[in-house]
Amino acid sequence: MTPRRILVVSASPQALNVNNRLPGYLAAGLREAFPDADTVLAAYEAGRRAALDLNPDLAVVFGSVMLDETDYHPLANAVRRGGGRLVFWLHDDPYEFDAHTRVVPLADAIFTNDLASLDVYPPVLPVHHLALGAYPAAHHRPVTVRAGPELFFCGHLYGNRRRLLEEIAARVPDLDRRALFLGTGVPTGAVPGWQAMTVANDELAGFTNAALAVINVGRDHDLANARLLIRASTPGPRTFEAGMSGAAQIVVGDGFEIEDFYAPGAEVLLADGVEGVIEHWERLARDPSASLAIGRAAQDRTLAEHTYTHRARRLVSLAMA
Amino acid sequence: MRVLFLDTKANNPNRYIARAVFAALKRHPAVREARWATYADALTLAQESRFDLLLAFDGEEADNAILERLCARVGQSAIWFTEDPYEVGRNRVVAPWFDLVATNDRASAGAYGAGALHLALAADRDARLPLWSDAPAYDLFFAGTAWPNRLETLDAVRQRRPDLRTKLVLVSNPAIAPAIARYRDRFAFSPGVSIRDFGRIANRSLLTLALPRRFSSDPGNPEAASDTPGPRLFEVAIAGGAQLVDAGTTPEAARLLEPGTEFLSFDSLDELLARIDEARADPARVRAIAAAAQARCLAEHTCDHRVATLLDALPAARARPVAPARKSRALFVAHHLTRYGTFGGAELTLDALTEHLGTVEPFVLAPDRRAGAKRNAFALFGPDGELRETFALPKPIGEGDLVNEGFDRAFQGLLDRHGFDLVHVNHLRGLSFSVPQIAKAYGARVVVAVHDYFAACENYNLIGFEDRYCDILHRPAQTCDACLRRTRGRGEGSQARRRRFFAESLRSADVLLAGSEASAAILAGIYPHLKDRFAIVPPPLPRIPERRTRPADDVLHVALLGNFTAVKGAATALQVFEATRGMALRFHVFGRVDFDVAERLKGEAFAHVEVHGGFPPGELPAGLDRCRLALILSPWPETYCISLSEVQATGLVPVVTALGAQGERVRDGIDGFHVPVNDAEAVAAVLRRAIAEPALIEAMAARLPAAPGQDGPAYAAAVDALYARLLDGRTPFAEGRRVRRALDLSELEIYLASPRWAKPASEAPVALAGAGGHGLLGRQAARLARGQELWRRFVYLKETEGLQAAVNRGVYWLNHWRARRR
Repeated sequence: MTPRRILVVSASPQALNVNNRLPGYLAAGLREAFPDADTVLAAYEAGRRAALDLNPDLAVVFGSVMLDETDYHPLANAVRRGGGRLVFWLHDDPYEFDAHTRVVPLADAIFTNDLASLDVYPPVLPVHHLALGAYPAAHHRPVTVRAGPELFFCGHLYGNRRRLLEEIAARVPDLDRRALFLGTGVPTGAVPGWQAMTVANDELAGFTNAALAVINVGRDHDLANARLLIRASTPGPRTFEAGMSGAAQIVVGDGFEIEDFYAPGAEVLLADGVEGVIEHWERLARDPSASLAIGRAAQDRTLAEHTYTHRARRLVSLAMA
Repeated sequence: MRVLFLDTKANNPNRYIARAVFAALKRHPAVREARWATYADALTLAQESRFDLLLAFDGEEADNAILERLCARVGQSAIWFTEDPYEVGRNRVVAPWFDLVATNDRASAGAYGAGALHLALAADRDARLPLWSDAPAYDLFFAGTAWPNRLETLDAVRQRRPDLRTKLVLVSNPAIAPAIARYRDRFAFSPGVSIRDFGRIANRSLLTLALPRRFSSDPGNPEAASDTPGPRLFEVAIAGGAQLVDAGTTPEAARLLEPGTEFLSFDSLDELLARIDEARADPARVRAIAAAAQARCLAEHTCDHRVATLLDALPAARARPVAPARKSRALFVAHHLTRYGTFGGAELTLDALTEHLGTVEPFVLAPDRRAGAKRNAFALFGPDGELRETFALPKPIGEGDLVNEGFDRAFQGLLDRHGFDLVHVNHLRGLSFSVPQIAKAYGARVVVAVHDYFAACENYNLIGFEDRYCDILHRPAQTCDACLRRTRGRGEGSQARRRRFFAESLRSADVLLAGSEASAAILAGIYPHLKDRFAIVPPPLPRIPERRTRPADDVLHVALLGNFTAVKGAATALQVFEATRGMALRFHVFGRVDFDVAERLKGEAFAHVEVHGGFPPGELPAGLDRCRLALILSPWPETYCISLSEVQATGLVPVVTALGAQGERVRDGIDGFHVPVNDAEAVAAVLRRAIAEPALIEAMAARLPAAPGQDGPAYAAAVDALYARLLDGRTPFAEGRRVRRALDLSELEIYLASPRWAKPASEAPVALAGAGGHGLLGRQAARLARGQELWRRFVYLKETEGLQAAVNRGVYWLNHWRARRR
């Protein structure tokens, strides 16, 4: 059954939501995938009112549900009043997994960004894996030149990320001139190449597009994962946004799940640790055309399989099944 | 067969194994339905419908009241211990509850008696991966906790085979960090990998290494060691990995997989290196071993096989424990009791229930405010009103708290020890708001009384910063932020936190017991998911007064019955007194007069106002006989309003504010008058009309409801009927006979980022800032002024209500002040 009215609601209050662009990307994906449906995007605060006005067949709450200030009972009640289905797409698993107990009693289905978390959700309702995606209008860039830097990373500097960057710095004496690491968590200069600053989501695509190599490393910092100590398996959300920008990503980690999304060697480069990162980086430095080739291939694959339009189709097909 | 499945370790890092067993259970042809339960809902599920089997999995953390109660309520019960021999000491405590015990460890089976079943762990058939066809990504893969003996072996392997392509996932933790410090620079440590990643890496590696664990968490058996294969043996096999296993652990593994053809083993470092060298030289042979192991696993060692074995081994059902031959027990959870003095309708209602209920044995839990009680103590009183036990909290409950760990644990102990079948929450002020959820998890029916709007707001009368009903249903939710900031000094988002938790907590209530449709409608507007849970039972009157005859009089006498306080509309009444000077009117104030109001009533301007003072509950003053009308001007939606019943019963025509229960229970223009909130002129207009049209008042009096309220026995009978419906078909719980572990909130599926709802405001609230002044001297002056005012209030109370009442109120103020500071 294809829904005629779809409501996308941000899971967190606007003032507290650092990922407040993502619900808009999903809404755009839904509109493209289901042009005949009436798709409405609502902030958390407006969710219940929007549900009462729209009477949706399907409501998707998208984001993080761990804030104590958020309550989805009023929204759930409004959606159910008209017989609609309510699903949650949680994009902070497993780091905020413990908060899932808040939405399990309310949801018709849950979508989790992390495949590993899928194995531990209570089997009392349908739970599906759905990785995040990319939004072409925000993330697509022409892949023509690598203006620099040679090595780029952006994100919050969690402990594992900091160790990796420090290990790179220990092996590369002129890292300050060759690499640009941006993000939050530590002050500028705490790690060679590090600059404390934030970058808007769609601006980030410009950075990843221009860099010769982009480090993609997950986080090991949990906010609410004390119960089952789940280890993440699915590559982080920026993987697809960087892919759409045409970045040559060096994906650092233990797992192989990245291969479900991109072909290693051709669309992304895989590394177990610092040695692998440096080895790939040096190869791209010697042969910048390889960086462009990997970036173009990644972009093609992202356009073909990993946009929010693709995610929207899968979400709706599973939610309405 | 209907099966209830419970992973006994609510926070189980191996949850994926429990899920795999559950999935196998659902697939078994004899199983018509399998339900996944948690400690939060297992007893509810078991009591709502009949299950043929309870299957408990894992065994860790199983020694708790919920599981024992489950065993007593489900037709048959079985438990599969999966942490033996390390947990056998603890497991033996719970094993007698079950009809069938299975253990992962062959050697431990004897510890559980003759009928115990050895049931090795197994693989999830859905975890099967196709075997690698191109070159493996790694030669040797090891994942596990970084015990020193393991690092020693791995370090030696890497030194002696430097070209080996290894994949090591070594998990460290603070406890072992000192023991492995010397390896810190030679290995990288990580938080580990998911089971899916583990399987994929094993699948893509030539060999997956298994090294022994030398560790026990059982304090009674610290040296425990076992050759029982852990889950990894099966997980690697099903993933298509070839295993290289330490010989110390192979005797039992050899019963499950064939050494040499389905796995490889070694008993020294040299042998380990030799096996690795042979494998690298002949990968096809290794692939054949992996294929054989996977095939054997699929044929004999999946969770489906284990579930089938377990179900086949179930003995005939044995007799369930005999239920106690007594009435069901109800626990009333209260914030205050009449025995402590200075009480209201909530406390009187509780007394009516404990005195007159017939279906249950009533116990009462409340803060211990008896003389000499410990600080932060609670008292449990039995059906005879006598003290049964007390407990003191290590940390007090603050007004800004949602939950209190000490209370939550002690409360579970009470539920267990006394076998309460029903928990009736009379009021949650000063208590842990998780009471309904905990009670539900322990299998009790839950009734929550609505005496006011505490569940919706700290300002439990819903009187907002404008000194009137906030009408929050017709305003943006964030109005509460502004209001609580001004009235209580709470930070933004505080109300949202509080409401969210109440929304979850009250979901555990079977019934919300309200006194009026109006109050239920307001709460249902705030919590729409609860709208079907309300039952309307008007609360009891202390005594049903008789209709009185009134002598003719040239002056219209108007009563104000009950506490003459701000929340009862005293501010409006004072304006009415002002506006009606000179009219043929006389007002009679029957009840306790608030200190602030009493000051203002003094003087010539209010010569037509007669203050009669307080009266005991149910003993209405004789002066009422002269009155024709009664003013009930509460600026908030009363949840019932007992004094309204009393004036109706005695034949007075009420003039009420047009909201809440008072508005609902008076028909405007038929048997009384509605007036807007805080509108003295409208009240004066009604009074003018009453003077001018005495016949109209007489006609209205004749139309007053014949039965405007019910007494305690009638109220208790209605609640008895409600309890009977809730407890129908349930047998009383047995009393727990020993102290055991209480569950924490996460085990009851409750998640809280913070245990508090109150967030600090970034600056002092407006009202407090005004009172507090600026600077040190200003603050000290303000404190002094507040102290003087409190003393004047104390003296006033002593003079009007007696020393005991003043002392009680003083203690209340002190407690309130302490709670607000927390």
